[in-house]
Amino acid sequence: MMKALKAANAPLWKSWVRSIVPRRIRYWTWAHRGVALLFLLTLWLGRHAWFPWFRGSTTATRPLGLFWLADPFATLEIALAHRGVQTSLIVAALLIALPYALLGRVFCGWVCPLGLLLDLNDDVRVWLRRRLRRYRIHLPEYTLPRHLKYGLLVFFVALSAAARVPAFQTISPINLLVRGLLFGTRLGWGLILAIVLVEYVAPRVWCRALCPLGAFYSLLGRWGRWHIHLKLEEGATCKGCGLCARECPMDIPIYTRYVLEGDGVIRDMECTRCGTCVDLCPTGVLKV
Amino acid sequence: MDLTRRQFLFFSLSALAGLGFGYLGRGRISRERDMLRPPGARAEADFLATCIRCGLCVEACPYDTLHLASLAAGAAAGTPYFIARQGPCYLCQGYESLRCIDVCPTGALQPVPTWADVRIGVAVLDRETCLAWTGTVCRACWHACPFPSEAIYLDHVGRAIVVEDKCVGCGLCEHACLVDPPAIVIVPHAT
Repeated sequence: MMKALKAANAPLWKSWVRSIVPRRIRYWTWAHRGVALLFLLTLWLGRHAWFPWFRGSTTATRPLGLFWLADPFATLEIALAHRGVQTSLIVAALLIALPYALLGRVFCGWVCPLGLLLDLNDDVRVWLRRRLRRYRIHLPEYTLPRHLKYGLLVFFVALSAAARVPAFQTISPINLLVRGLLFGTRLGWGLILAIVLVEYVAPRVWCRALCPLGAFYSLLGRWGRWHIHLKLEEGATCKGCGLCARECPMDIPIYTRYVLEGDGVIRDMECTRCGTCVDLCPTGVLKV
Repeated sequence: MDLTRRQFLFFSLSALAGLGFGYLGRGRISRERDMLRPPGARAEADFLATCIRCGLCVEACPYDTLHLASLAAGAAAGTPYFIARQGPCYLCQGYESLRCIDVCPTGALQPVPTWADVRIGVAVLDRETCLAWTGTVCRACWHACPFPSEAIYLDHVGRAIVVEDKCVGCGLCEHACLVDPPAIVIVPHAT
């Protein structure tokens, strides 16, 4: 009796917290967010605390002041813009490109600072959508065709070659975010805010359909070896709830295309290996 | 990769649009042409093509001289520059090498043999406003110059004269100038 009364009088904020924090801990979700946050934090420490772990930004870094790591897409743009590229930069780009070629499009989920921001923003969007539904307000969920980003990739590569400037590195919202956080440039925040706000009517549209860097890493990791897959053991079965596909940040038809019709291995170039489906699977048959 | 005809058309159009925009906007999209670059920087067009916009040079600078350009700089957004009046290039005095050049991953900043070979720009003295040239005793720029009596020398009545061949364009003179706005300013090399 007392317990029931207490529950009825629970403060409003508790129900709000409940609606954000899920009952089950989403291990993989917080793992990839943690790694991305750690990367951003080391970049920030490299800038502000004279801690030389990762100096620079996402386009190029210098871990511990020993060697260079460079974004292979930025390197490609420079090679085209300058009609040539120095060997040390190729080495720095290969050090990044080879792991990503083996792992797939992991940059977007596990490293990208903008991906982290939009991922956290997506939680806020889901929460807001739930709140607004009580007042009969429905947030629209527009989509754009996902091959647009490959078009933008081609566009920026051609633009770099013709304008002789690494075009995407100049205006990339990812770079603008890092630049804004680390170096205090202000103008980029408008674009980032616009991208964040657009997410509320078109979920993850930047990562799914627009980001040329995501398209680049998708192509790079097309023959990657690391996949999320279905593993049926000890009588655990897929019950066909389709939660994996519904909650997938990249909107991959995991259930229909890979579980029902495929061999259960999610060999999708869009997959960022964020593990959201693994976390949400009620029978736990999806494994990383 | 299996491309449908429609996708192939779409990608071709994207490439054409990129080439078209790039060709039209080439050289025009950089708005701030008078930015002072770090020492060892390539000529402006080559610098814009090679700079990866990572900010390693900004972080390496021991004097916090360098900044990254914002989006207002157009195609030069994210490239390093400095404002001599606010913070000149001290040419890494007290350090063994020019640290921004050491950390540059792309060769946008090229190694220089000696500090005297740095060419950021050239100091231009306005004799109309310069205190020494208008009759007051002043040699602030001469004192500040890392190559006194070589890059800036004083004539027989103590007026400063810039030797353009020797000036590295570090901006220490512009920083030190007592007149406001400064009578001596660094003008980047025309490219």
